[in-house]
Amino acid sequence: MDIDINLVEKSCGSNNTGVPFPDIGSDPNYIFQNDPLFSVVTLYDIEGNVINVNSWVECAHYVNGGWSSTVQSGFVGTIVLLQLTAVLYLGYGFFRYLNQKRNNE
Amino acid sequence: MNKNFILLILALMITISPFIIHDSNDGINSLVLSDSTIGNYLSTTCKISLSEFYLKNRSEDLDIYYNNNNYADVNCFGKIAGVDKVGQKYYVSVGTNSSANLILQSTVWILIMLLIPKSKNYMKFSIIPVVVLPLVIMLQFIGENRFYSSNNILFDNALSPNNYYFLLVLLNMGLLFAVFNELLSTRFKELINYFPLIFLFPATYTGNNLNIYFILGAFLGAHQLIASTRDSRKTFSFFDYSYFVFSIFWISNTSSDNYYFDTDKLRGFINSSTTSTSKLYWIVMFYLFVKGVFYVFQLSKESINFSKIKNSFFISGSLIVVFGYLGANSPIINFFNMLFFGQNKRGMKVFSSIEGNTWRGFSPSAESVGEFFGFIIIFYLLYLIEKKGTFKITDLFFLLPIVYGLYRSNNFAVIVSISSLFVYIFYKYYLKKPLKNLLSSKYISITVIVLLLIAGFLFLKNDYPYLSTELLYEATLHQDFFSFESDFKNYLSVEQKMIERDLITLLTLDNNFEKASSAYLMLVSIFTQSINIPFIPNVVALVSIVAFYINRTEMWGIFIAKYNPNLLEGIFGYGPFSMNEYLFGHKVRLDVPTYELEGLFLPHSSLFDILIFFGLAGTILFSFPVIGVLKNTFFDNSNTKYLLIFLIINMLKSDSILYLNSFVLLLFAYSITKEGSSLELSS
Repeated sequence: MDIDINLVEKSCGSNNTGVPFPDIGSDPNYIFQNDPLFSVVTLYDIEGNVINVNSWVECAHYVNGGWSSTVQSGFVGTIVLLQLTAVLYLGYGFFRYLNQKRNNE
Repeated sequence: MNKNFILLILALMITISPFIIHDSNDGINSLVLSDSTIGNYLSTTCKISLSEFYLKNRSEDLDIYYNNNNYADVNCFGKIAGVDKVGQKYYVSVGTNSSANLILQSTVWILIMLLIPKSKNYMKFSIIPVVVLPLVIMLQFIGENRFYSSNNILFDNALSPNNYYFLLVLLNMGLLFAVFNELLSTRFKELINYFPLIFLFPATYTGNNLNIYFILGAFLGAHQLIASTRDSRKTFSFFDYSYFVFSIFWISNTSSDNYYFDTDKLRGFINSSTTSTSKLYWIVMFYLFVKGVFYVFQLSKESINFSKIKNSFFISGSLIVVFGYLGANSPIINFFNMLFFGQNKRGMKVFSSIEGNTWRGFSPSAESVGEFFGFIIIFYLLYLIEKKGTFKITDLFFLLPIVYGLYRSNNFAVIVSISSLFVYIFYKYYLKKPLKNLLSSKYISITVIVLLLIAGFLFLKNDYPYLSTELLYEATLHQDFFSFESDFKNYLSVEQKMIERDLITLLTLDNNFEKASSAYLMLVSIFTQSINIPFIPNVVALVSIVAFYINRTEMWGIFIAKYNPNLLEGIFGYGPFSMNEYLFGHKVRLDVPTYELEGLFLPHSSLFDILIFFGLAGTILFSFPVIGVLKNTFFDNSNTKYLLIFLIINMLKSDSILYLNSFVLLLFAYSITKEGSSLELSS
């Protein structure tokens, strides 16, 4: 399976083990080997779940699956929705204006 | 093109469009779903739109279920947020952020409301509710933070000016109320003629414990309050003052145990928390909501049109069947049914009776949808007879799916009620005079009653000891009595004492008295009292017999085992739509499979629901107006009272009062029965 190495390195650092990324696929029985030289990395998913990974391969696997070392904050999402709300307010104001104009006529 | 058609298409497009939008130049393509491509979907979360995925996989022979992920962030809205395989089924998670849903669904349902035609009357609404009610709604987001924090990644509970999440909710609610003000100024009096559509559109916001009708009702209730303050004589009634007294108790009795209820199928019309803030929200909003519903009826008397209401019932009932069927057969329609109609629980996945509630999604329970279908049939019958409506062949086009819907709801009680009413209507209107006179003579009536009593006595004579104790037996089995390691030994110990009919000793053993619910203790003391009047059954025994014949022994037994209020809670209740103390406050032993232990065990009687919320005093208070209306209309010629009687009888054995649309239906039946023939009906 292809991995986005830049994305993986952002969360897991570079692969110092020299072991290539294995083809894990969706094998539920795959067991990751702990790497004592690897500093434990905490990853978060979109649902706010947290996991600690103990090897670069494990970390890469999870990052590949959408996990990230940075908390995926909803702040930006709120701003986007606030902007959308502002547009709706403008739309409402516009229709109200049209309505009043029509009533006056 | 027809304006209504355009509005409908626009509403559909707004619902679907977020699931189509995607970046076609991002180089990420949807792949045919298989075990080997699941990983690809996991590595491209929130990149592939639902439409891309659907178009790629629609011709494949795959068992797919589209799961809505309300927690996901806004950038994930309409996109694939993950794929799982359980057995042979693929669970495709689609991002549907709860805050975005609030905006999207409000827009869609406002467009649908625009389909309601304008009336000639113009009502000028005050601006005060537009400003005040969003602040009241904020109380829910603060008080029910456990619900919202597990349903929305954007949720932020901090009370600070930098909390953009609260700002977003405030602005959206403000806009919604402003639009209501505008929209209802010309449509207010037509609302009643289209109210049956609330069954087709349950309109509960996905991922939120909010329902648009609840908000709308509260909004109208606030207007009613403002209007009534202008008329100082009519501001508050006895019920208002009583509610105020009850509210003081409810707030002061807030439980320190922070029980959390995930709301399940009651979402939108139940308190998920036990905090005083959430209680305050439900107390205020429920009060306003009920006022609002009655306000609609009070001001719409002249506009009520039974022909239009019948048509709305027909459209609502038949489309529930059509979309229920489509949703069960198409996973993608099942997904959009939830968003577009605002279902509080996903629709059924398979169209078979083994799925339980055949019309789940559109209705939280089989009983309530059965009652709805039954109500339509009775309403239509009364419309033809009482309102001199004309039968059209096109009516059959709507009636057939409704009858089919009733059949699939497996609601035997409704079918029996309708059949009885049909017999009565036939007797009243179509039976030839000589036979009718004979049947209605005093002698015949008295003979029939005496024969029925004798038959009942003989029928019950041998089974009485069994039937009269069955309810308490079930309740005893579900108490957490005895503490042997083996559940079976606990069960045998209870059974032995029940065979000996020795409930008093049972309570003295193994600290059982402490483990028994207060409701159970009270019923045991009533059942084992020393006063015994011959031929007059004990009230507990009587309820037990009734419960047995309507198949409610186990459910009511569980209710008695669970219901554990203290004296004041027993009198005043836990507060409107506060069920957490009942659900989690008292430990019981359930003899169900392990996977069902976490299931929702509701009382299975609307009367018990009212008892939980409003206590004994509240239940008695509420029953006065209903009994009063039935008493006043019992001997008059109006048939509308049968709608109310039908609902009351059926709701006594169902939890339908917990579902917003059924609750409104009950208020409607009450109101038209109360008005009776004084209504100037234009059919």
